[in-house]
Amino acid sequence: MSDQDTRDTSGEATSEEALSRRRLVLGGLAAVGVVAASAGAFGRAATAVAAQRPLSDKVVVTDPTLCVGCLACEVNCSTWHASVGRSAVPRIRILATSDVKLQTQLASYVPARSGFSPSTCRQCPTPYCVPNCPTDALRIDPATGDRYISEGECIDCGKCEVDCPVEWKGTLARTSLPIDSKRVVRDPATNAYVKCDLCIGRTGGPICVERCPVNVAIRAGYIKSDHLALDLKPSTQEQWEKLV
Amino acid sequence: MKSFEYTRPTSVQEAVQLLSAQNARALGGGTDLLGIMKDALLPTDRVVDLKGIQGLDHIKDDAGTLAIGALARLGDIASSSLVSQKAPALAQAAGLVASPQIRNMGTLGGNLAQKVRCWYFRDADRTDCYKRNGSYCYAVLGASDLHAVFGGAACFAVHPSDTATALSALDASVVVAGPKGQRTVPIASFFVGPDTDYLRETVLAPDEIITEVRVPPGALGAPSVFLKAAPRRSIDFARTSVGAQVVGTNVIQTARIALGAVAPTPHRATKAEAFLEGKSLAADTIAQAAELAADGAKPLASNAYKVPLIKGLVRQALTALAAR
Repeated sequence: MSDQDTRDTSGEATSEEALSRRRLVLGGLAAVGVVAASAGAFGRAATAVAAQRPLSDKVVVTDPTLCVGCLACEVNCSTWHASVGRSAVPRIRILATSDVKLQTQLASYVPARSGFSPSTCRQCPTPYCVPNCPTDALRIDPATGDRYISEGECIDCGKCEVDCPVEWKGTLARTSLPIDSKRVVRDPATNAYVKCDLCIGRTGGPICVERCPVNVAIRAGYIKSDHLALDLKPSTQEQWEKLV
Repeated sequence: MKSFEYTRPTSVQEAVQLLSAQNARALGGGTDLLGIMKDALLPTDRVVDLKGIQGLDHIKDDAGTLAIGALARLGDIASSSLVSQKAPALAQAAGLVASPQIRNMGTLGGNLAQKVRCWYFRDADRTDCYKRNGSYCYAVLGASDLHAVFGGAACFAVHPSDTATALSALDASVVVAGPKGQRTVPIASFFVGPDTDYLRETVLAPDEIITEVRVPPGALGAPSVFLKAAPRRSIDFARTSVGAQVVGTNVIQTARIALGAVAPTPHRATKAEAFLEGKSLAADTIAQAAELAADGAKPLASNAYKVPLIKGLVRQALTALAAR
């Protein structure tokens, strides 16, 4: 069953126009469900409320205490996505922050490299961005539950950005410039919206997790840690609440 | 060394056309390229020797602008009375590159377009280095003595050019020729960091070459200085260098402080520059500017020594300018 088939429109805008538009957009597939009055619980009554969807198998879990701010994640994210014809805007960002204490072993080795906090799309169990996309460019991969944007089909309407519940707010480590944006961002070069797609289509999974040099050192046993700086874990509500 | 095709064009157009082939590389003095080829660090199938092109080795006053051809040798720039008089920092930088033998071979264009000196990149066995289209930077958690304290992103190699540092302080422009003709690039946007593209250090496309470097009239004649710190006083790459210039008598109108070998591109100490403007070069002002020049440095495991080196060199450079 495709994502489109499972699309749940409960909580959809109640006006006839909106329902008509929705039916049109979905090509007549809109099997409008019973409106569930759950919108208020999330304070998002003005927009469509997504029901819980099949969870993503994975989400990138970051640990700022293991981040030395080398930006390998951001750079490799850009480079790989550009190499497969997608936007070069990084989907993971490192913010500079003063309230992170580097893990002891790293702190003894690179004491000046603390105060970095990487974060990316949380692959929300209830993905607000998905149901409002008018072109179904925002999808859920039926095999993995990966929430991703088919960038070539994005029409630049920005609804996903409005609906995204998580932000990047602070100072970018890369430029020292302020950032105040959602984690779905617009790429002015392609006029499309972009978010972490867990490197869908890439053998080996997300490139940031693979290439993080701290991860490499942990896997090789040079740094003692029971988890990685950028880890892949199953996406659950409990996990979501713990994400940076 | 792997076999390669050697070509010697006689015009810029011909050179650009020859460089459009895959793995073609431009040869100026050859002091960097030959090492890269001998160690097979980068695939090279064709060498395009630019020295057959006439008229690219000039050092002249072009209606008030100092114009230096890309093939001008570093030794000639160092001993040029015109450069020493108009842009002393550039003459000093050219004179401090490597050895007399290398300065007599190496060209200004080649010095700007050289590859990094990172010891991991230059180690033929480290094929997974980003600069070799790999996937790992050994310096991040390795021996980082040579590496960046500003601006590293995935790769932490620094730009090694002394003349680039001096020219950044002099607000120079680089004239670039390619298949679509000629363009002039301000030096501040000529170098690109690894966050833009870790496979290259400049905006030059594979089929583009530098033809000329131009120092504008505004920067000419004002006091400027270049200082370099390296473990060996000669025949060594900078561990930290500074090019500085102040314009304005008594009160500084504009100040330029460029730091070399501390970042993937020449690093302008913009906070120190802004602090100096409107002030005079008194000792306490110099001391504060020197502190500001190192602001934001994030050293790795073994390059924290560059932070006091930056402060010391900036203090020395500004003190030297104050004495002019």
